[in-house]
Amino acid sequence: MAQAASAMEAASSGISLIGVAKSFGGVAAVRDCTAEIPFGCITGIVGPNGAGKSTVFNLICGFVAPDAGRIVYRGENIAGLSPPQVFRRGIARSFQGVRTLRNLSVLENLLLGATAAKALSRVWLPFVTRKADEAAVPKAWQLLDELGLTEAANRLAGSLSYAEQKLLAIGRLMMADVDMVLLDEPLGGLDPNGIDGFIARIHSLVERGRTVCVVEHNLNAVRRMTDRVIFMADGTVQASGTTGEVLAREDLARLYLGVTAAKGSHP
Amino acid sequence: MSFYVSVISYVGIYGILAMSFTLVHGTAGMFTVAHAAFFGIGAYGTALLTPLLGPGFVPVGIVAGSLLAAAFAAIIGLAALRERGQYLMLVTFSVQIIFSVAALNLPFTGGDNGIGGIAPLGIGGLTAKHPIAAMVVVLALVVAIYFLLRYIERSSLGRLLRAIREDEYAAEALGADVFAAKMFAFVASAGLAGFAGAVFAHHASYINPVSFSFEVAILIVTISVLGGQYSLLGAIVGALVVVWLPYVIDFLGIESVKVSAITQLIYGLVLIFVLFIRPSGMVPEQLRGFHPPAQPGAER
Repeated sequence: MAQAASAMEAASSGISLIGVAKSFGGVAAVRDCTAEIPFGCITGIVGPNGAGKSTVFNLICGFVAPDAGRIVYRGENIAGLSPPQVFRRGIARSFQGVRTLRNLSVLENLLLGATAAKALSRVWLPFVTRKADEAAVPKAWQLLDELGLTEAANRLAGSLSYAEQKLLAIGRLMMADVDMVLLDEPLGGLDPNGIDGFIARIHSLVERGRTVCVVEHNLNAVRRMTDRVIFMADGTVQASGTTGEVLAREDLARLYLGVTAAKGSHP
Repeated sequence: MSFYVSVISYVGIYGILAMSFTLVHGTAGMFTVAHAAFFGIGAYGTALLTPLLGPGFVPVGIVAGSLLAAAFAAIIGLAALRERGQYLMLVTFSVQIIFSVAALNLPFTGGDNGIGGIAPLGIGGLTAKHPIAAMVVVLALVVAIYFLLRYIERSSLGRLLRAIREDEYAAEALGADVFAAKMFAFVASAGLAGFAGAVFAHHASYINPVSFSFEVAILIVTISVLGGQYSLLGAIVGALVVVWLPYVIDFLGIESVKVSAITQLIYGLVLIFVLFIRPSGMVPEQLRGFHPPAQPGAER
């Protein structure tokens, strides 16, 4: 952990959220949110349901524009940019659901990670783009081999099991030319074996030079895979720091369990 | 003999029209009911322009008619494609109705009577006056457009359009400019429908608003669903069945007044039957298969 902390100091700033706020119809989903997602380590965002974790992802990736505040990435305020603009700056995300493109083949799902952003230039630069498209194919085969999905390459992605579809979603992000990957509840719905395998995949994203930020409810898994944690509740950041530090705090544990229990205790 | 030849030509023209619908609906997942209007804009465009240019300039008229349809689609798309969901269907429905009213009432469209004496298909001094020559030209165009669209479908662009059909948000999260991609599909498809309309005008030498009515818009959907809405080949097969059907009924010796009504009834029944028994139509979507790379290291 000490090693991770020093690595963190050396890392540049990554994504900085500064006083970000967003309300939906008068309900503050995120308010005065200030946090850092540094390069070079795995950051977890944890907190009870309704804490605003997924909204933070939506805000960073441009699916929702903030009412106030700045989101700074590589010295630029990216708040309010569209999702493709954010992607082009080097940030990609996964969703809570798998969002598999069911009627495309497994291989095509992977290829989209590499080609979707540039596919339209096929219209005005057909030959240049074609080369890039063809270069993605062997890369996708290699990745399929790594994910154990080679046999399924030309099958409809919708025919894969849920766990395989989750792998495929990560695979799409591995194909994407980005530096920062935001994963929204990547372990949801997986059995313990699946979780182990999946954490290995997330680490292989890091090995490929990606910075990973993950929203996750499984605190055990968060402990195992993250270097830093941002703890959110009521739409704002309650604490952040190294994983060991934050998850050891009893007041936060009570806040997490307390709020969850209160929500779960409705008749 | 020339009767069959001309029916085959119409199969080709409706095949091009249905393939244009496959691009926007089957591939990109946008449901539009204005394709008869774009078909008509292309037809009226070339019918009005070619006489001004002279008889040797039929291809110029056809291209201009296609571009005119594409331009209208661009304006409609700018207004309608920013919204997601069924909004486009409502907008294109109004466009189709407005087009029908305009074609009947504008001073230069000839109203009910339409426009006659349109130059036959040809280029420069060469004209395809003979029905067989016209059929050959039409079928050559069908083949060319089939391969062009097939090329697009199998490229990363086609893959992106299918991704948008499946899940816009997922495509957007992978960096796709969904609006621009939809604009491309919508405008290109409308341009192609306009192209089919322009070819139709020169082939038939006479057009009136009936050929571009709302019934025709529904006919296009019928062709596409019956043949296979996700398949280019399906569009052609669908056109083959649907264009022949009224003639087959006619052959059965049914009063010609009733043919149209019976045809509509059969279209409806066939549509329900197909959606119930085989929703992918006669020709299902064909995925592009990829071969694994040949390097020894990659083999298992």
